[in-house]
Amino acid sequence: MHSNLLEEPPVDAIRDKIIEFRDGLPGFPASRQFVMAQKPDERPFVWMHSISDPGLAFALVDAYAWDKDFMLEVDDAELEEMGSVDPMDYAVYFILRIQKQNNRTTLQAKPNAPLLVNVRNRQARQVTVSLSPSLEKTEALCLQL
Amino acid sequence: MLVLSRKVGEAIKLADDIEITILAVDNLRVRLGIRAPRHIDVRRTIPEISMGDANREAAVLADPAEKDVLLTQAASAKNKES
Repeated sequence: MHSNLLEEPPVDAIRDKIIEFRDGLPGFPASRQFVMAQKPDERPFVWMHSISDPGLAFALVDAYAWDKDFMLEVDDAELEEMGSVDPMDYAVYFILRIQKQNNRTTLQAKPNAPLLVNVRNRQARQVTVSLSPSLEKTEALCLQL
Repeated sequence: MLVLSRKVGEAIKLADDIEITILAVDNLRVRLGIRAPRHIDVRRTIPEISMGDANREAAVLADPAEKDVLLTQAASAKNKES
C-alpha cells in the first residue's frame, strides 16, 4: 500500500513548534529537535532551527508550493512508523540549498530527500525518493533573488 | 565483501538471529525484509551518507541578520513567479 501525499498540508499546526527527528537528521545525528520558524511574509518558506546547536538552521520550502505538480509516494509502513497513515496529517518540505555568486542568491530544492512531518505528533523524518523525470523537473526549478 | 545472489522469497542469515529476506525486486529497487533482535540497529547506510552530505551542503550557519531577510525575499520572488 502506498499513500499519495497531495493536499496542501496543515502547516499552521507546526509553526513555531518543536519537531523531532527520532532517528536524527542525516548528517547531523546530534540534532534531533528543531523549531519550525515562519514569519507571515516568509510563507511558504520556513526556517528549521536546531535546538541543540543554535547556530544551525535549514531553509525549507513547502514541497507543493515549490512545485504544484509534485507528488510524493510513501510506503504506508513508513507512515505507520511515524504515527499516522493519514496523508492529511503530513507536511512535506524540501531542504533548500542556498548558493551565492556575484551578488545573486539562488535557492534550489533537493526533491529526492524531502522531509516528512507528522503535524499531529510532530515526528519528522527525511525520506528518500528515487529520482524520476518529474523529480528532475522539480530539481531544476531554481529561485533567483 | 561477500557477494551473493538470491531469488525473491529467499533469505540470508547473519549469525544466529538476523535474517534478511528478498521480498521484491523491480527495476532499480529491492525490497528487503529484516528480522533481527530489537537491539540490532538497522540503518539505511547509503542514502544516509548521501543525504547527510546533501544536508551538510544545505545547512545554513549564516548570520542572523541575513537569515532574517532571506526567506522574506524568497517568498516575494516566489509569489511574483506564480
